Amino acid sequence: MISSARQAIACVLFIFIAAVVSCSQITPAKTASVSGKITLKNKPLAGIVVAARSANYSAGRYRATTDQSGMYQITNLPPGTYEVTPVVAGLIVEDELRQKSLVIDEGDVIEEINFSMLRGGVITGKITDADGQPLVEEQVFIHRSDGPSAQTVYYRSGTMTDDRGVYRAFGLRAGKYKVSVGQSDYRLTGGPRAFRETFYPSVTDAAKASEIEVAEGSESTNIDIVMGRPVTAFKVTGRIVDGETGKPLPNIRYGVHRSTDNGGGQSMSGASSNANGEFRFDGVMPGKYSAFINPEQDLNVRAEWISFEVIDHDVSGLVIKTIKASSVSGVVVLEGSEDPSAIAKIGNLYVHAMVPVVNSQFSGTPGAAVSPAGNFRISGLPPGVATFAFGMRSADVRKQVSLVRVERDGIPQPSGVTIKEGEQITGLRLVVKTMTGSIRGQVKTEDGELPQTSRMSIWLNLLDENRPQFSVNGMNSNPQLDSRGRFLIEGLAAGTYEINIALFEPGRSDTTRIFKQQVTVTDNAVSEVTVTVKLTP
Amino acid sequence: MRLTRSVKTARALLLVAMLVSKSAVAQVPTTTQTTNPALGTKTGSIKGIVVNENGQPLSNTYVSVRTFSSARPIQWSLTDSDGKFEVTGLEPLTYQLFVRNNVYTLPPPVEGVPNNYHIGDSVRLVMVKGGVVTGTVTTQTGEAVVGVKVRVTTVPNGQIVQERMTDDRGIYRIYGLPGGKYVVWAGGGAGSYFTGDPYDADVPTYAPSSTRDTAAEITVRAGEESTNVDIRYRGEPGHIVSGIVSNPPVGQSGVVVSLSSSVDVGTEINTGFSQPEEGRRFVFYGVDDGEYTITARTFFPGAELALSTPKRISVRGSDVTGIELTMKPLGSVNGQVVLEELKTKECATREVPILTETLVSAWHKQDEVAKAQPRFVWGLGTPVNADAQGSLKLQNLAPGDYYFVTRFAAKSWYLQSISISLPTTKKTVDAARVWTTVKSGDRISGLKITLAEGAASLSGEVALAEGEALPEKLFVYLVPAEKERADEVLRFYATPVNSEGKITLTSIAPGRYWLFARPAVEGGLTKLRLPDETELRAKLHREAEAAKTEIELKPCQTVVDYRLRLPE
Repeated sequence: MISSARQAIACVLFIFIAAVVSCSQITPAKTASVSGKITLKNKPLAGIVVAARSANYSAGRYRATTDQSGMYQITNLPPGTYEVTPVVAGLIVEDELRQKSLVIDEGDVIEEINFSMLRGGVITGKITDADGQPLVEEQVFIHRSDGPSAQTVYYRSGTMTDDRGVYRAFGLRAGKYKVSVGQSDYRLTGGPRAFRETFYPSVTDAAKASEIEVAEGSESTNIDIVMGRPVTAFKVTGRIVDGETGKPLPNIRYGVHRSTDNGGGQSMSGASSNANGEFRFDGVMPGKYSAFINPEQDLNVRAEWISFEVIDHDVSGLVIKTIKASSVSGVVVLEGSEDPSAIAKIGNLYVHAMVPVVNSQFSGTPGAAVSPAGNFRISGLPPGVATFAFGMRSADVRKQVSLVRVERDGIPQPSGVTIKEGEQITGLRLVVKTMTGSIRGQVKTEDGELPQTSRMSIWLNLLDENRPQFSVNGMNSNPQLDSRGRFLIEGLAAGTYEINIALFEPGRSDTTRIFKQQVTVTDNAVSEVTVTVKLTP
Repeated sequence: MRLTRSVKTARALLLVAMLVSKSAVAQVPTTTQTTNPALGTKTGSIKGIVVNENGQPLSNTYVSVRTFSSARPIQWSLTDSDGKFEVTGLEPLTYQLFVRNNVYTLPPPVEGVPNNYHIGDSVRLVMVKGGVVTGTVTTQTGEAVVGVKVRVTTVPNGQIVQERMTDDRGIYRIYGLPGGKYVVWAGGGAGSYFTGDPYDADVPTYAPSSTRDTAAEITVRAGEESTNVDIRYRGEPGHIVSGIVSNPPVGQSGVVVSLSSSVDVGTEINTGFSQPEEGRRFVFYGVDDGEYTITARTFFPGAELALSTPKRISVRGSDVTGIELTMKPLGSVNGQVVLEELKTKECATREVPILTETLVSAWHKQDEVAKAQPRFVWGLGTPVNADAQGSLKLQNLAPGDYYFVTRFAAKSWYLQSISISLPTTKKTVDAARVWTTVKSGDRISGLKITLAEGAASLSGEVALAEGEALPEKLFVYLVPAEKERADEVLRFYATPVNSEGKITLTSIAPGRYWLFARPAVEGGLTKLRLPDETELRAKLHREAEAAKTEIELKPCQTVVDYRLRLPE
């Protein structure tokens, strides 16, 4: 039944490509398959869905269900890097640190991708407020407090309280856990309730939280928390006005930013000023904030961030004044092609301008769509030195572009384009090339066996001083080595690259060793490479 | 050593495009609302209080304000500890309110009581405790189905109101449900994309263990719990339904394709997308055996849309492929709101209606042709507010017969007439008495809505005898008493009698009326005024005449403390 359904899907997909070709022409040799066995306590598990996901097929189009002997086989896989995992709630994969990725070549028949599963544990309890009333739809956080994934917080839908205040977290790996409800100090605004972070057993000091020991298949019940009174939150209001005329500006998107001590921060936006140009934030906890605006590109205005502090009362009368912003416009061209329609073939291209701003926690990256003829205009920019990056609405690695150079009036601008306050720059030329190269590789070990405890990681450097490093690879910014030591990095611009393999071996005097290998990438081609890792003592 | 070979198969390329398009599509509707500079500077607020059935204030309840033409909230607010809210800086338009609370829910609206608000309104919203449905999902052999999505759908409207996942014991619990009838189902829902949920490509299993046709209907009462609504999961893979969209409009990227169930009278059960880069193909996974309607539409918010003629399909044990949906433009009607002032100075208050507070909606004829359409089709032509000059454009009207419903805020003005001048006949017809036919791509103009000054108003109560209880859903009707106006649809008025027996009617055309109370006419005032309902109006006329209560309302007259006796 299952296999016939798969066949049908394959046929339908094939019709999409060319209606004139019949389904029978799909030859299994072109696509790959992955098979294996799923067990629980060495007993086969039937009816488990195993999915192969990749950056391109994240929704799990490729999947299979285990039969009575626990066997699955995923077929018709196009080449690529996949993560093959059983999709099953309540059970967990025994090997916590297992390499999940799998680099699959055309026609590969990969077997023995087996999974030994464990039953997860359960933590359940009830959350009530100071008056004993259940807290409904309150997020319950389950923190792992030991093992390699300590600090990991579980918040799936199962850890939200129901109408009785009851939560039930399941599928937990054996270990020690802490349970908490409420928000830490860095909570932003807008939520209906604000409770101080409270741990089981109803303590606000994380150090006094009790650890809950979860064993395989265990159930810890009555992990109840009684919350304190909600924290008083405040209202912040103000207006967005035209800095020149003082007129209120309606329909301007605004947001708020809260900095954290560690230099990071949280932003929240989405609301627009009302017909009087007013903005407001509800439920704001005491703390230091900045308000900002995200005006429509067409308006070509911007505003400095305004800082405010909420102490113990509502804040009102804030004024955000807009000023005329700068803009840049020009044309995007493909390197070596004077045909403007070449850009149209790439399609759905977005160009972003980045202007670092001094004394600002956050600088936006305004972007604009590139027209089919290659024209673009980015407005709302502050003064400063702008650099450019490209974004796509398509995740197709073959449609990524890399910036080669920026020309202003025919003169290359290697360190960026300098924009003055309110300046409207026209006539920029952004020369790009497509990123159609790939590297397919294999790590080979010499002079010994890899110890069980060792781990390997991979990264890439572009050996070209004149090209910005961020354009090394747009799609696959985090390349992975699979369990067989293979890797596939797609969407690369032509050039010479250096592959770095880091071998981490705990217990050695030099715990991390790095092995390098150069490789040349050309357009529309796959470069094959082998990196040798010498395991000399 | 370096080897070179071709990168990928064409098939891989295509799959990428298909999967990517969903995220691309999701970005499109986030366009911002633009202000109409002609609206002027007058703004205002809507405030109110949210309470439960016992009158206790509900704090931390989310209240949002929307116009009728956009799903995007204009403003929102959270109720304070006294249950109060206020949304400020609103333009003078017609608004609807949406309320969300974790435990409480708004009871279904009373038919005939319009849910529309204007700036300056003060609102009291009463929410009731929702009902609960809970049960266990097991396999045919009795094992718990863990992590399967369970959804609750209204009967007969077919809207999915809630969705929860089963826990490690296969138990689900869905709460906060408004009172009513529901069906409960598990699994399925992949639409045109696998979601990564292992059960999404299965056919849905309806409680107790069936297809939609034989599903158990569960009655939920506010504040009560329906337990043991168990599902024996079928776990069968669904079929594929696929095809192509032809003749799409130029310049609009995505087309939404809807699969609607014929059992749930046209309820949209799944949606997919068809994109130009995929050659306008669409595909649905996990489709159960049954009767369906497939319809394609463009979806750009605020724009004029195109719609395909709905295709009926029957899935019987195998996939259905090769469906072709042909897009056609929808129709539109342009109109104008006209004010007719009183010539004499008999009215003390000279209220000037704000034209932007006039809301006009196109009400489609509910005949057999209309019922064959998926329900969402009739929601495309959203009600619109007139602009500051009184012009309005009703767009995205599916082929059908229409009647125009007008609502406005000015209490001392009344709806005098609705006419339309049709270009084909060059005649002006009374659009309040006949249906206006709109065909695909029609661009009709010449709708004229006349509001006249000098309306009367009437307020008072229904007098009850000692110990007499107020009948449920009681309405007071005004029926024209003048012979020559007996079937003038715009001279029929209705208002609900509230729980204290009080009534208020404003914007009444001056004249003589029969006045009487009776249980609500199904369909409300709109139905009472429909061109086809001559019989219904005649019936009300007879009842009214028998009740023998006549009233004459002079221009601008305000009748207060009116006491109406219930008929024997």
